[in-house]
Amino acid sequence: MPAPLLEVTGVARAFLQGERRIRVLEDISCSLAAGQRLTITGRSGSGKSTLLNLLAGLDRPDAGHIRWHIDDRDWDPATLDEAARTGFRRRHLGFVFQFFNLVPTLTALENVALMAELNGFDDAMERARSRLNRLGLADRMDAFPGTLSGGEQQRVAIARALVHEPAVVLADEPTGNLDRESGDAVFAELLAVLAAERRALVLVTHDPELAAGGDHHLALGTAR
Amino acid sequence: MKLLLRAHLRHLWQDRWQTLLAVFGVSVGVAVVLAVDLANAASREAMQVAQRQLDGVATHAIVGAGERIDERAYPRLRLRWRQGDAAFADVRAMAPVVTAETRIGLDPDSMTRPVQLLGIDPTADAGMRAAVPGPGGDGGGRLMSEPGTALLDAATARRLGIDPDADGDVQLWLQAAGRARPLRLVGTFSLGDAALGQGLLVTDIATAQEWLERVGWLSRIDLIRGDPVSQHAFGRMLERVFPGLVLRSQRGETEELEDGLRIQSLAERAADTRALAASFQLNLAALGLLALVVGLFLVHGTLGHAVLRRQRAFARLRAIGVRAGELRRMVLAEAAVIGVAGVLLGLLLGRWLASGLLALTAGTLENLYGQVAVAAFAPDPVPVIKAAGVGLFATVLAALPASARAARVTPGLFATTEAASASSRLRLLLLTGLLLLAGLGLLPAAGYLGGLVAIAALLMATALLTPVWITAVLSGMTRLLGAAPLRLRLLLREAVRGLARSGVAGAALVVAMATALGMGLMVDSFRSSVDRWLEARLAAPLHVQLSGEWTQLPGDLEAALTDTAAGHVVRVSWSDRIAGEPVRVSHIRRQGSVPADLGLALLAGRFADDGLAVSEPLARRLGLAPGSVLRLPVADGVRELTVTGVFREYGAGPGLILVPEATGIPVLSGQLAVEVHGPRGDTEAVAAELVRAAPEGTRVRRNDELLDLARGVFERTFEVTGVLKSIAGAVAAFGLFAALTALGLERRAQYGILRTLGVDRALPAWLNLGEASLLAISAVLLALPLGVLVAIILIEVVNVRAFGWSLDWSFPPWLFLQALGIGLLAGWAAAVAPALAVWRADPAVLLAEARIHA
Repeated sequence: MPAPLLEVTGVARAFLQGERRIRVLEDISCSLAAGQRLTITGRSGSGKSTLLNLLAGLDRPDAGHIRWHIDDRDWDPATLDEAARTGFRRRHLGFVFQFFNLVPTLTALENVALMAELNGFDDAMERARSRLNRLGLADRMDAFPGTLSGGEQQRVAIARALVHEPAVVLADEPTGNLDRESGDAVFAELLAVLAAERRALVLVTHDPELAAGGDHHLALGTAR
Repeated sequence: MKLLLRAHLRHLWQDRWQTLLAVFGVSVGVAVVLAVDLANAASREAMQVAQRQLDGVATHAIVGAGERIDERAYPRLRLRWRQGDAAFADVRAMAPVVTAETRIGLDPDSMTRPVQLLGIDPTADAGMRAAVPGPGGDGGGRLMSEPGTALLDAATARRLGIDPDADGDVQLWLQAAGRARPLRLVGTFSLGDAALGQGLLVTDIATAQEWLERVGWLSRIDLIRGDPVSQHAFGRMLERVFPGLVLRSQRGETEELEDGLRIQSLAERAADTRALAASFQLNLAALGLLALVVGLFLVHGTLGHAVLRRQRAFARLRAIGVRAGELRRMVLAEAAVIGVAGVLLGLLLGRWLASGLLALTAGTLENLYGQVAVAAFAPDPVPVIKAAGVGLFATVLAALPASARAARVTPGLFATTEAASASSRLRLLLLTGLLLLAGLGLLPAAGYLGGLVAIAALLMATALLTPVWITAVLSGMTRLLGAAPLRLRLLLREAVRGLARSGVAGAALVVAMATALGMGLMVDSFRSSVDRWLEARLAAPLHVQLSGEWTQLPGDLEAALTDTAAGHVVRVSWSDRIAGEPVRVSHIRRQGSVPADLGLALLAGRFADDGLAVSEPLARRLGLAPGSVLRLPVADGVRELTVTGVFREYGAGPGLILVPEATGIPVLSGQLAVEVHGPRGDTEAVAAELVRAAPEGTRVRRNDELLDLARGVFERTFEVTGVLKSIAGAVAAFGLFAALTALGLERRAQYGILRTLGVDRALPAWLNLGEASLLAISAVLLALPLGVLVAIILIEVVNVRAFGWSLDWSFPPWLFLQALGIGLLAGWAAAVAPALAVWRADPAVLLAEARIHA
């Protein structure tokens, strides 16, 4: 049996709020294989974003381990220095945010190409164009984010998350800022691309319908 | 309404760093305005106190040609007055005076303390000068009965280490007419304004004549007229508020008496003295205002951006019923709070800064115009009220565009951005055009004020256009670099996007740099012109100054000059006034073969034996040119002579008139100076021979020593302008720093996303530094030509009109490189801290902020 893409074992994380210590995550364990989908649900303050930060190497757990197995190599972001963690995120992870968070001064094409360029692809523009074409944005490539609709912006964000062919996409409420119809359409397109390219997805969502179809499900409790 | 106001004021606290920045901008501006005014007021007050000490309650004075009167005229005039002569109908008192600037000390080697020597007739002078003891007063009687005695003001006595209350006489030494003379101090008196003015040494008129070697001559005869011409208090206040303004009374025209004697109003004489320094003080005030303008850019930028950021909140307030006018007033109230805080801080800072400026300005005035250097701050509320008023008014003025923008926000949605920006662009262009037209229109106006206002209009117009200019430069670069790496494109576009915040700081930088460059070019042109002038003067390498007053050379010296010097020019100089202008008149005697140009650079006409040559500043002030006729006071009246040449002169404050011997104008006794023309290598031997042959007290100096002194004066004169220029530049750099810091803070969310995506920490920091560099380069590109324009107006208009000096152009490349370097350094210095902050920031924290801002 191949090694899982992600292994989370007994992870805990707490924060100090004044004198009080808030235990946001406690003894969290889960795993994910290539091409699979892990959905994380929970109420506000349950630690969903904290867990996503830990998975991305933006934060370190107080206890437990997070191990990624990518390209026949094990990665524990907590043990890496800042530059190596940045490199890890750049190369192996893709991100989709609730509010799209495109760079406002770059066009749709340039926003996507930026990730390819950061990863040293010589054909960054071609790759970006190809991604946007596949997502139905052929005629919106030169538009700046401010002139795109919410659905279009999220498609650009998805193209950006995939252009450098990461092993996994971390999506934080990707449809949370879209109407139901647009949200469903965008999410369907994301799943279709991930399935076609056998990439994994870690999805944080409030939406029970989105959460329903995952391979693994992690329901987080309320912070204590 | 109260809650609305509270909400706005709370915003000032929430955004406290930006608020502090705006407060800082106002406070520095107010501080410089106050400091310049205080320093100017202190110098002016010192001059006026010195004048009062000398003049007492005298309202007029009888003066003669060469600023002296044959003492035999005094009893004659007194008799006419006593007999009820109509010319003296309203005269209540009359007293003769002999006066000169001298130095005293406790021994002959330390005669360094400057004092005004005042020789009086204690009987006639009673009541004329309240501070000076009369014949029956403390020591006053001894002046007449004991030759060689004097009274000294108590403050100067203390400075010399003499206890004014101690009994017994004190032996002092006086440097007068080139000699050290012993004097006996028999008493002291209090001047009241002890810290102001200069020392006053009072003696009997006969003693003063002896010490000054002016036996038989008076300096003037003071009069108290029944209808004193006093300047109205309101007029004095106006002079304090508007630097450079010198009000003159309606009366006070010179009245001719007899034999070249005339009655002159002392108020007019004081106005002449004030007018000499007025141009210099106005230039300083203009630099002070420049610092305030640069500071106000910070207020304008901060408030403008605060309104931009709160458009959504304003729209919500409009939606729930807040009127546009209320939003406008709230923004103005924020400005008022910033203004009050800035003014209070600025007043404290200004008082401190003034101490430094006072030393510089007082020194410069002494160097330039021979005016009183001892000055102190007088408790004068006018500069404080003026600085506070200007600061508050200007702050609210700077906030007007922001308040108008707030009032334009429509309920629910943002203002229609496109339409708003199009109309504001139109307004901007209109305003710029109007400013340029006003500036150009004022340029030909008489007086240097027109030139300064034109410079201000030009700077303001360019400042308004700066954001448009920087956008154009960056957009052009973006188009040129269309295929550049995305990171470079990102940098250029982010810089354009950030202009809403940084554009105003860029404008402040342009104004400060252009002014610095313009002044730098002007000063360098000045320096090179002065150097050329000094070099020309070295054609006469030796300068011999005889002590006392002479009308011809002593025989031994004459013989030594004939024997040892290949050629020389003898100048006998005396002081006078022509059309109210203080002048030095030099009688020129040529001996042997001398260079035709006398070591002076001719600007127009020629040096001729049958006419006068006048210095350029005097020619400009009196409207003289070759061919003009000048009325020159002589011993027995006035002679009309033709001006044949105008020569360059940067040295003396008063104008200089050269009168050739061949004109037949007799010498009025004066200070005799000889300039020896000859090979420079021989100067040591010639100097030694002249010293041997000259009478006691003669000073023989090499002209290059004098010229070094002149260079020193020049450099010190521009020290103060350098300081003010640096302050304006520092404020601009700080404004850029604040703008970049604010931009860095606003972009943290975006940086958080980029860092999460895998952008390393160097890129955001690099973006900050790159943006600062682009801003600085764009600003420099605009500031360089603007600086040249400023220099042209300063050199061709302001200097000529204010000082009467024409300058040769000098465009040293290093000044342009220096401006470029300073601009870049300012940009980088401003960007380092924000870049480091982004470099150090934790990406998780940045991402959390991005989530919150979303």
